[in-house]
This record gives sequence, C-alpha cells and structure tokens, in this order.
Amino acid sequence: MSKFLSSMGDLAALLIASFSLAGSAIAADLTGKWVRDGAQSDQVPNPMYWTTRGVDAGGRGANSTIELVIKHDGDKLQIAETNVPLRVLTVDGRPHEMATDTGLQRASVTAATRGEAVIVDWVQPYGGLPGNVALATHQTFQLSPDGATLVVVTTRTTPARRESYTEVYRKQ
Amino acid sequence: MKDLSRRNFFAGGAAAGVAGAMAFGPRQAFAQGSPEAFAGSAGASGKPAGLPPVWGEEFLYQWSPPENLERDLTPGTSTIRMSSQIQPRLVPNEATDYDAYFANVRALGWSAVESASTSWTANRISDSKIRELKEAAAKHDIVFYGLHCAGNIIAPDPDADRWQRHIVDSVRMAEELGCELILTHAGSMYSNRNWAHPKNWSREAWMRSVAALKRICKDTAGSKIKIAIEAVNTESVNNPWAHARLREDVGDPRITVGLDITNMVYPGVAFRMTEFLNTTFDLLEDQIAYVHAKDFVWNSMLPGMNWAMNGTGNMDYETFLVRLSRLKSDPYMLVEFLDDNEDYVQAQRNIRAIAAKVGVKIHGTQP
Repeated sequence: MSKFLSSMGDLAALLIASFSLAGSAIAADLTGKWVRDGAQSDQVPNPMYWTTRGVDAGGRGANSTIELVIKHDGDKLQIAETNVPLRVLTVDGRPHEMATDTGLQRASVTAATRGEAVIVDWVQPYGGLPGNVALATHQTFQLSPDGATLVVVTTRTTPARRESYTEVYRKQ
Repeated sequence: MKDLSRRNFFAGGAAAGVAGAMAFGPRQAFAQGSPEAFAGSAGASGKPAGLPPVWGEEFLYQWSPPENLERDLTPGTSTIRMSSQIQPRLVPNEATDYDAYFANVRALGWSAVESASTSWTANRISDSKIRELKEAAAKHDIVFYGLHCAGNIIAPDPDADRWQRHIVDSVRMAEELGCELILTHAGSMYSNRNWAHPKNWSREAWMRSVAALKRICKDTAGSKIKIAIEAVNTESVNNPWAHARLREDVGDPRITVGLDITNMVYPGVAFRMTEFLNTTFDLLEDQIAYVHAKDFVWNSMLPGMNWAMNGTGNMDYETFLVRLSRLKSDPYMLVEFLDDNEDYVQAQRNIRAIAAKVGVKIHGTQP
C-alpha cells in the first residue's frame, strides 16, 4: 500500500474515531445523495481486475466524480453508485446470498450496524468468476456527527494480499 | 490417452451427437463442456474447431457460457510441482553456489526449475559443475525438468536452420543435465515469433513447422527428451486440436504438449474457460509434458486480453488444478510472466489457496 494510502487511512481512522466519540446521538441513517471528495479520498484500485506486467487496470482516480445515492430505511439499505449495479442490502447481521455482478457465481453479504456505523462484509470469488480465490471485502460506512460527511473505508483481502482505501463523501 | 484426434473427434462424434441431442436438451448435453458434447455438435454440423453452441448461434458469437454449467471438481491423486521465473534465474556459471541456489528456491516454496536454453548452449560449464548442480538439486528435492528454448524454427531462411540446430543442441544439453524435456514452438513466418504473420495458419506455414520438427526428431533420434510444444496465439498451434494434429503429422511420440492455456485464449473461449479446460485436457491429457500457469482478463474495448494475477481472472483455476491432479504422473507447473519476485509470492499464495480448497496436492510449503 502506498504511503499516500496509509496517510489517508490514518485520516479516516481519526475521522471515524472522532465521529464515534460523538456518542449515540447520531443515528446511523445514511440516506442522502453523496458526492465523493476527491481531494480527501484515496485512489481506488479497479475492484474487478488485478492486472500484471505493468498494465494499469484503472480504477477511481483522485478526480473521479462519483455519486452515492443511499436510501436507508430500517434494515433496508439501498446504494446506487456511479457505474456500479444497484445494491439492496438487509442490515440484520446475517449472511445473505446474492448473485455476483457476472451472474455466474454467488456472493455472501452480511450487513450490520455497529455503533453509528454500518458494516458490510462481502465474500465472493475474485471478479465473480468461477475457480478464483475468495475475495473478502469489508466496508465501513461512518457518518459524521453533523451528518454532512460519510467516510467509507474498504478493505479487500485475498490469500495473496490485503489492501485498504478510504473515500470521503459530502452530502448534497 | 483417448483416441481424440481432430479427425476422429469429428467423425466419431457425429452419430453420438445426434443421439445425444435427441436424448438430452442442449443444457444437459453441454453441462460438462465435454469433448463428446462438442464432437456431437461439431461433427453433426461440419463446423470447424470451437466450443459447442449455447444459444442464438445464428446471430450471436457463442461467447457466454451455458447457464448452470456444472463443474466436476473431483481431484486426482497426482501432486503438482511448481516452478517459477523468480530472480535470480538458473544459469550455467562455474562460480554459482548451486547448493545455496536450490536451497533458496526450495525455501520459497518452489520444487522444480527450468532454465533458458540459450544460456546453456552458449556457456558450457564443466562436467564436475554439472554434477554439482544435479547433486544440489536432488539434495533439496528440486526437479530440474527442462530447457525453455528461444528461437523460431520456421523463421525466414536462413534463420530457420539456425534455430532448428539450436533445438537439436538443446535436446542434447537437456540430456546432459538430466532434464526430461525441452520446450519450443510451431513458429512464425516473421522472424519474431510474437508477431502474427498473415500466413501463419496457411498450409505453407504448417508444412514448414512439420518439416522442422521432423528434422529435429531425426537429428535427435534415440533421445528420450520430450519435445514439448507451447501454443502461442500468434502461431498455428494455438488450440488443442492443432496440438494433437501436429503430433500426428510429425509422427513422433516425443512431440508433446507444453500446455499454456492462456496462450490459446481468444474471445470465443474467454468466458468459457471451464469448458475449454475440460476439452483440452480430455483431448491431450497424457501428451501433456508440463504446463504454464498464468491468468488473464478481458478489460479493454478491442478483443484484447491482459495478463492478470493467478487466480483472479478468467482462467478457472479450480478446474485447471483439478484436471492437472488427474494426470497420471506428477505434473510440473511453471508460474510465469509476472513482473517481480513479490508477484510470484502472491501468485503462489493464490494457487496454493485454491488447490487447498479443491483438495489438490502441491509439493512443498510456502513460508
């Protein structure tokens, strides 16, 4: 992981820690339209392709314009994200099976509330294709005390490596 | 090995295919992606090599896999020995401490090695140093199985002759080193094998490859060194049927397969790798002298693939490793074409994790 990513991770940890200190007054309702703050966010590697031999698989650059439109109603969490299929999750702490984006494999998804944060864990074959290593993705959605900032920390783990990145979103 | 030459494959498959189609719907018939299913389809229609149709073949390329494709992940009993292209590479050098070299290879989890042919034919080392090398490899339970040959055996003249003689020299060198095989290629009509010449799939190019390999076999008659052919997409041998036909046309059982599945990938199989793997192993199985392990993704607008970390792309490593484990002898698997030593560490971790999941044995352990 680059020094940049590490420093952004530290920033995210500070943000999350300060949000958590605010106590339980803030409900974990993530509803809203969120726009990515490129200056405060890490570059994000391509979530599907791990290319080698110097080929850049792309991903989210620092200046990418990304919107999240989230509807959070009770234990239902719906996340519409630029260039990503709509996610409809049940926030009940139990694993749910759903098709991977390829439609060829199954993913196990567990969403839960932890304090003011929503935690989402995905386990699926890498790239959603048969025969691949398992990719475990752990995401923390943390709302700021004033509800204006959403910090999303993502950690992706395979047998070969672990990578983390942080994205900061501002409410519109 | 099953008698599955391309000609017999189609001829014998026709009747079975018709019967199969009557007995089963398309999904069942192709559920395993088996060559029998394929032979039935291709034989009945007279269509050329390729995987069987799935849906809409009148107007769609058959690039998506069948729905509900079942995978048989029953492992075999063979144990895979992995080699790699980590640095430093194995080269002939009187000053090399081969004991330390093989100790390091083994400590990193690899249990086999190969080496580039040109280094050995150009730089001879003493017989005593070769003995030292062999003893060190045996001490650390490393198999030095082959020489990976450079060159182009059908290059424009006069280079073809030079490279054919290099292959002959490599076979002799492999014998001295106690290897089991050399690896070469069908070649290209351009000097650079990696450039696709428009006539590489012509009768002329095929006959040049066959003649070149016949000459190599004749000049090395009596040798037990396998002459493994590596498929490359820019050359005529870029599918399993061409592999099998080349062996028939050359007419020597030493012509075997240095199986590189990813080197045969094109859009028609990119998302049908489970079927392609099964078809290839069914067709070639005991002709396979050893294999290369890579991975790929299709992530660009043109039908161009890019190399990917092993176990993260389209390859279906579970099926790949299971089929390897069913070969009669313990296979050698070269993890290749990565950038640096750290990439090889990651590739080995992924491959071992997948192997453990499906119950395939890999020699040694990774630290």
